[in-house]
Amino acid sequence: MSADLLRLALADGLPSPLVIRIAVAVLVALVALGVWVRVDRIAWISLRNVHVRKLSSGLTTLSVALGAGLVAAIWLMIAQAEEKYRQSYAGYSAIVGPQEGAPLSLVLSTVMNLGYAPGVVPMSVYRELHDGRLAARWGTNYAIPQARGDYFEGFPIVGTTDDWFTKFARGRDADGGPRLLRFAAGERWVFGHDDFVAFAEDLAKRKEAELEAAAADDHDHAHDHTHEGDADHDHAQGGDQAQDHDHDHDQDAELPVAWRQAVIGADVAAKLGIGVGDAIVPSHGADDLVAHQHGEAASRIVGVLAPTGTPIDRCVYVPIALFLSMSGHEAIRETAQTIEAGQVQISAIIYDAKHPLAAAQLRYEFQTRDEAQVAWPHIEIAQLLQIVGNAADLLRVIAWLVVAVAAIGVCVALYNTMNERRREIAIMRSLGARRSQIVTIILLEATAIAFVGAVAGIALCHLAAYGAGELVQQRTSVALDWAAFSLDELWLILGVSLLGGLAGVVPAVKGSTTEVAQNLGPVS
Amino acid sequence: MIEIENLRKEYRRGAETVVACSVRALHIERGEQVALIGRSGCGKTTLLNMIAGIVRPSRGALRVAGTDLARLGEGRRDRFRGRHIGMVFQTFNLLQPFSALENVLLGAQFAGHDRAAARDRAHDLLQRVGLGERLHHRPNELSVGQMQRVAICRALINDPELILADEPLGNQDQATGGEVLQMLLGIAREEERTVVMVTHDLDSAALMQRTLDLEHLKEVA
Repeated sequence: MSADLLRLALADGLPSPLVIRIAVAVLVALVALGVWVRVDRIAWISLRNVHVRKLSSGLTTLSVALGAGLVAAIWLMIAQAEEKYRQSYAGYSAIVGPQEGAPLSLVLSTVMNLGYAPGVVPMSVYRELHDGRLAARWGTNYAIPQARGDYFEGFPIVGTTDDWFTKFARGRDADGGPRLLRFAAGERWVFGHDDFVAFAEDLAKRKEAELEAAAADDHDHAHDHTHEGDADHDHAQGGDQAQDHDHDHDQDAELPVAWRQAVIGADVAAKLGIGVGDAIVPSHGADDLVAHQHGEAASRIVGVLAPTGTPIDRCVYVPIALFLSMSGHEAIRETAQTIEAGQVQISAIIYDAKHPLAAAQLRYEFQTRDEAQVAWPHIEIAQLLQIVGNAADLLRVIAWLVVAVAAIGVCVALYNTMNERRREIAIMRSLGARRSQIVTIILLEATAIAFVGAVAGIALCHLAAYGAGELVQQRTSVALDWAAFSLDELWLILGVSLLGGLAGVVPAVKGSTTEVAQNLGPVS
Repeated sequence: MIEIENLRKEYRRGAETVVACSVRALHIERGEQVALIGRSGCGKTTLLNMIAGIVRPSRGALRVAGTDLARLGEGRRDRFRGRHIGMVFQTFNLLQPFSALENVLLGAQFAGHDRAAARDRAHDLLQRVGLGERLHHRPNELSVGQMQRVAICRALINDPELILADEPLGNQDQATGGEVLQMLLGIAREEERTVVMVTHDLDSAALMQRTLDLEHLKEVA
């Protein structure tokens, strides 16, 4: 097994990082073995000395732990952020969104739930991608609309169609089939593409009627006109029924029951302790204390998604018609032009095509059009990680400087004890200890402090990841796995221990040169 | 066991040369128990340190157990001391962080002896001097007499041919100190070890086979 591994690693002719790591590990193991054979009889003396000076040893260990913890925390954050961000954009080949804002904003909003949707994109673009001209050109796997801006208990509410549950694929399963979102409990609601189209056309008709009535009557209350109808139609039956819904947009009137259904992500369920059958009330804005509550859109949870380890877990999904029909969303939903064309507006479209170059061609297509832009999540997130990586490099340098300062602290603390330990060292010498053994004892003390500090630092880092995980997830959409230990942490322990050993050199040399005869006499 | 000829230790203090110890000739047989007496500052402790290999003579010949210590480098003198010499000090010089057992073990560990065997021997020695119940007590938890006994065990741990004792009674009362000294001499006699003891107490010196007045470099008894 290991021979195969080595052969594989040497296949390129040049030593790979793996070979170098194996070589270093073997070298370190041999050195450690050799050192241990020489020091195992006196190591306990070092440990006892560290133990006796509890306060001094404890403080220096703490300083090392803080430095090592900082290094480990940066590693953990960056490594997991990179991994989670890469996991998160699986399934998002391209995102079509408004021209306003940077492509990165569009990606962060749509994929990571970070920031706000930068604007709106007309439904006509969605129609082109779903079953229109562009779909015919490239063969659409899925074009899924998203409407964003409201929250439930701080978790974003996403208005979409049921393609999100039936077509959106986060890669491939082991059997080669699309990896669709799975349900941990309940089932999806039903509101498909046809329902969405019918909803938009119905809305356009009503607006047209309102305008005609206003022109005829010239009364301001014309917009209070309501359609009387059955609110409990089953929207799964197709677009025809959408026209029969009660579309009273009075703020106090409830929206159709068939729309008022929600599927929640795994984290939403776990964090809020809610599940199938419970009710949610959307609010406008993330802060529920000051946000406007959309009582008219109070919905029942019909399904809970299985965990994905991505921002999907932190969303509440509702039919896009519900989202767009909530009071105050008219400005998001429509303009005079779109409504005239039987269209609404949405925040973004998640797009995936059968044609392998469709994502690239889509971008060129919209470079010459002004109603939308295309963002490639893998490119945007790679660029973001590059920027974050550069900042992380700087943070790493700072963290290692903290470790170096801590190592200097070990050096100073030990050096300062050398005066008070002159007699102790002289006694050891009188008992036959050689200078080299005194050096070894002090080096081991420094190494032990650094080793314990490094281990404690890593433990602190993981504890902090556990404690601050929720906050980090809220701010970055990255769910930190506090229990994920990496091989790099072993190298960190080794590196910090070696640095600690180096820090012990000066005190060790000073201790070993203690004058024996002068320090053996009686103490007054 | 010890052969000294024209041994001298000098220190430089500015332009002045201070003679810390000067011994024309001294010969101590294997198994002999000798007391070194003399007024304060005559060089008794310096002589003891030279015999132990802690201080290198400025000139002269010094052979201990057949080894010319004056010619050995520091590291080899340290090794020699660890294997052939046991030391007992006036204030016992026990290390506070370590228990009685660990204090005894220290010398064996520096000499590189097997840990388990050394531990057994330390156990036996402490049992032999009546400290079997005090193995894990720290020095500050022991009486002066008990500390002295621990110090004697520590000197004996490496089975040394030569035991050097510098005012080993310390500030103990005569009865307690005398009793422990008798114990040391008894063990040394049984195992044919050489003992050289620096003391200012003539009663203690009287327990030895020979007493040498270092100041005058002549035998007085």
